[in-house]
Amino acid sequence: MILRSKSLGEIEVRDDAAIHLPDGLLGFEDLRKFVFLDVEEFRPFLWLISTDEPEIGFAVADPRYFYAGSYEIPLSEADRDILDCEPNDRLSVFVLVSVPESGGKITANLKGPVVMNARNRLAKQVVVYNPAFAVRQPMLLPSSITSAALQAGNLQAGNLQAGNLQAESGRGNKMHGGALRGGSFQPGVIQGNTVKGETQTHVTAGQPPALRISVG
Amino acid sequence: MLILTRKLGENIRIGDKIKIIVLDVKGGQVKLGIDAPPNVAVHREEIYERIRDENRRASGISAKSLKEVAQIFSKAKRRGEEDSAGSAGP
Repeated sequence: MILRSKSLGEIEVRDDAAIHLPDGLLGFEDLRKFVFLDVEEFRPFLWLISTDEPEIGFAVADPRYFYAGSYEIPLSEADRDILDCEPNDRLSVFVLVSVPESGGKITANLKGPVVMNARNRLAKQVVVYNPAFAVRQPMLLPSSITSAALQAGNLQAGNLQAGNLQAESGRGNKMHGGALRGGSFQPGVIQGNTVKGETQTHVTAGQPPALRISVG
Repeated sequence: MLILTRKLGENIRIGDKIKIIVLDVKGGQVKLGIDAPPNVAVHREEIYERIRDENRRASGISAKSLKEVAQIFSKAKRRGEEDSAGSAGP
């Protein structure tokens, strides 16, 4: 599939690199199919380009570039329906980035992260109420990201690793621990699951800030 | 749009499974209780608006400014790595 974009030129993408957002993104509800584009000169950001309208593209990033603490994303049953979640699915999270033309702060929208199921590449922009997370969360200084996450080897440019997406069993809705555990996620290519079983985790000394998806 | 007038404690039903209850009315504010199945998303309109506005803003990103930011980031990251490598050395 060849996409033509004014700013990025002609892009050849593999069909299986597509991700599907059945609800679109808020404000872009009609655009349901996107592809990730990993270009070295834009790392650590990736492009998320609409295949329906290739002129529409977003810069996306791992949320841990914007929040050093534990980033919690509540995943409702409605969200899980859209993602067609099954036990042991691996979910990835990325956030939409804004870079003001006038040279203001680089921010990401932590109120509306996009969660993707690595198995079926279904994705949804979910709503995060927690006031700790802003629609315009400034990017962390590279120094703090370096010390917290990059040194742990888990956050490599262009490789949005989902890290530690561990499900928390919610009321009456037992997805047992590890059910939604995150594996690694590469744009366009989903790597084999490196996390199996409930006892194994990514957590090591100097671990990157946790990404957590709570089920409730 | 269907317009209904309800008193305190009265309900509205939407389908079989969704119930909205007027819990309190005070000083221009209405407190509503919403009973809905877990697969129905219930959110305040404002949060949708804020995310929608931010999505529109994000879609305006230019390749030029993203490249600049990425360059600044890589430089700062390299500097950080050199610093930490330096401090770890003898």
